[in-house]
Amino acid sequence: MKRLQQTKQVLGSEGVLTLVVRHETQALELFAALWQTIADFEQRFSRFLSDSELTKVNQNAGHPTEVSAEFLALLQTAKMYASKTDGLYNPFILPALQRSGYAGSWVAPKGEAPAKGTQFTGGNLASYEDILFDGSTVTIPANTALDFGGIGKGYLLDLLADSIDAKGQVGGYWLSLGGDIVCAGYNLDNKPWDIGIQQAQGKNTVARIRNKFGKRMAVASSGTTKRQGVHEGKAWHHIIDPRTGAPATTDILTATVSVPKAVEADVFAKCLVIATVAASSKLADTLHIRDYLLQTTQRGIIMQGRGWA
Amino acid sequence: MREFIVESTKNVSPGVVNLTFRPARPSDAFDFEPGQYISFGFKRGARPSPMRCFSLVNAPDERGYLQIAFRVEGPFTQSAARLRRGDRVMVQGPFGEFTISPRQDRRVVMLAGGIGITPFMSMVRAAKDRYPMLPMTLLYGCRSASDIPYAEELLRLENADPNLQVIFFISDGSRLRQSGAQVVHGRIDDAWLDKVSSGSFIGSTYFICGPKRMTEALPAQLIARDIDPSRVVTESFTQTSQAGQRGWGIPRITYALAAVGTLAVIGIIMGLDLVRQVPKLVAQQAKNNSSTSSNSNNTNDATANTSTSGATDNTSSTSNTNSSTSTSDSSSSTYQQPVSSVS
Repeated sequence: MKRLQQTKQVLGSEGVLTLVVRHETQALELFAALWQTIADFEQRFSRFLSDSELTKVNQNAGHPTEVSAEFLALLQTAKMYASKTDGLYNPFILPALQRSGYAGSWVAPKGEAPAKGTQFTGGNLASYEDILFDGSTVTIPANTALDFGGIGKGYLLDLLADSIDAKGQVGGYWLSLGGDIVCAGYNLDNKPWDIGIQQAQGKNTVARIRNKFGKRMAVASSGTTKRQGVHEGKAWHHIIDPRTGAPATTDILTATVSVPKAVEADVFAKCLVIATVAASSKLADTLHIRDYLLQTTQRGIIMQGRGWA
Repeated sequence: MREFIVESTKNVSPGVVNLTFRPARPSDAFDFEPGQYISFGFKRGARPSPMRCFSLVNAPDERGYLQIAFRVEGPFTQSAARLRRGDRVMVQGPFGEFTISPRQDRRVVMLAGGIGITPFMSMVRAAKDRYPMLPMTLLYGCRSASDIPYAEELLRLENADPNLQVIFFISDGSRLRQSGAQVVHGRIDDAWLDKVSSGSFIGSTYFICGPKRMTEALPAQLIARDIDPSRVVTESFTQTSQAGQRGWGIPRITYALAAVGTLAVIGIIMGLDLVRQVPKLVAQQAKNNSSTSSNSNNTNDATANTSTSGATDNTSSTSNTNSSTSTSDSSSSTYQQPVSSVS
């Protein structure tokens, strides 16, 4: 068996694909297909591109928009998780996010203006219940805008893992999109994958979680220590609390969640950050989060679950 | 001792009962390896039953559920078969080394007789997730086609897993109801042992579980076919026994290296001390001999230095490849470890 790895800048962060395969040619074909899936996803769902399907839907807010099956599927998933988290995850936070200061893409050259037609700073925060589906058309309330930043990477990781599993012939893999990870199978010599958890404010590893049984396992971290800055004299970060429409006031620096589905890891990690330490335990029970780790401002590291190595 | 609650009871074939337990509290749950066994007991009236050992038949379960199966044939199993959902049982374990080692076992041949199928059920149920690339062959001997626990499920697992092969050996000549099964009428005989010990089976590890005559006879027959005794592993329901040692596992090597290392360090320190102190002692002795005063004592002061090795951190800093794609293989030093960071 061989372990092959490719890295690339995608979705505004680093993508890492690692495959354990018998033949190198299998891996190279699979790598190409996976990168293509990621590129298609970015083109369709980026809020920074003026010609993405997402931007078109946002520009047509208040009116029905014909969308692709892929868009429909992601939006339905987003609505489902908004409902499941009782609105703590909300796909309508884009105007609030842009007002806070997160306007341009992090991969665009510094100082470069955001693409035309991608700014919705005057928009409102709507409820997930206001999304209307009618066949292949969707309608979002007027003067609102969607953003899949809180769910997209996880959703995409599940798609990529599904396509690897469907192909078979892969002994193991781990995929990372900006630090959100999905893994399955085994490393070389049938060793289980160990996923390190990075320090909230540093590069060290504070804990490890082991995928003991080789089943699909996803790990996502979310927090206030990255994608943050100062806007009009006020500090901001990118975790918006839908209840206030402002960056969340929280005592959690980062929340890391490990569950089988990457989309859930992605969404639930953000919800835990918003929930604060006091409400995190109850929320984890409600969402059936078995393994999670909180790096907090006051209480150090809080680890729950049995998966930590 | 851990407390579990009976979740369900089910007859999997005439006279064979399958019990499923769930942990009474999350802290009672534990992980186990497919092939391991537990001991369990329960209360009959107010009196506790003895603890008896049974192989786990389920794949390791994230919820901590345990499953055992047994043939009802004595007072204990008759009482156990009368347990009902909600009854509490006491569990100890997991025990045993009747387990597959993906590191050592490159191909596995499982030889089961009757209810001796139980540890293998755990292995084959876990196979697809746990040993996805490991070829496994199960030779399953039964007296009658009407009395084969888990026959349907084994066929289903075989169909779903290209690495799993199941061959039923039925000794009374009756016909198996399920279609598509590979059936041999007779016992696991010399011809079959020849087959599974030659050709592509060379280097396999053999697991044997079944009636006493089977676990006693088969290891010798396999070893007579030039199978390394360390690759023949037997289990006889309630006790583990092995035809030979399974080779040097990691812990033993670790202990041995640690012991050798410690002795070497002690030897080096003693040697250095001798080199340093002997000339002084000799000189002192000479001085003492030449001096009329001999009151001074020379104290040897051996100091052992302990070196502290810094903990290394496996976190790789993420390098910006600016959208370039590079392929690194397992021998490359640029391999990144999986690290979850704030996205």
